Amino acid sequence: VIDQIRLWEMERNRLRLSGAWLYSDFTDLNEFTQIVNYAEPLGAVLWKNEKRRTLAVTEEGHENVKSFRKRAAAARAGGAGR
Amino acid sequence: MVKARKGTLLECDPAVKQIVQDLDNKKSEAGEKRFILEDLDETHLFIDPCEVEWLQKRLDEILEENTYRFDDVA
Repeated sequence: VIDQIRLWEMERNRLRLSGAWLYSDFTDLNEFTQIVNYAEPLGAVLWKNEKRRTLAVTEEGHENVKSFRKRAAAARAGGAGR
Repeated sequence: MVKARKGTLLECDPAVKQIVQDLDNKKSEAGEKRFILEDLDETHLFIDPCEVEWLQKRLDEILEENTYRFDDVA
């Protein structure tokens, strides 16, 4: 019976679900890398693939990434204006 | 332009991923909307959060069936 429970547990543990935001279609690899470098220390990156320039961010981390992107965009615009 | 979409990240082994993809194909064949939004790699899918509950139930049924079958053989 213990074996059966263990087997059942194994089956159950075969999948993990997490609420996430998927970021894709980066035209600029730099922008992708900046977001990864910002979000990874926060523990907000669930999955990433540099080749595909796609990353999955936790629901909690999404707001942080959103405002980080806003700040980065403003900095870029400011830099161009100078 | 960077695209950001809300959904559910599903991490599983390749065998379970195959089952999930089969379920997605069956839905599509039945004229229903696919729930896989993006195939990420061999162990990750990005799916429609509205279908997570349904998917978990279907997977439980399928995996349970397979466990019984395994027990029969053993």
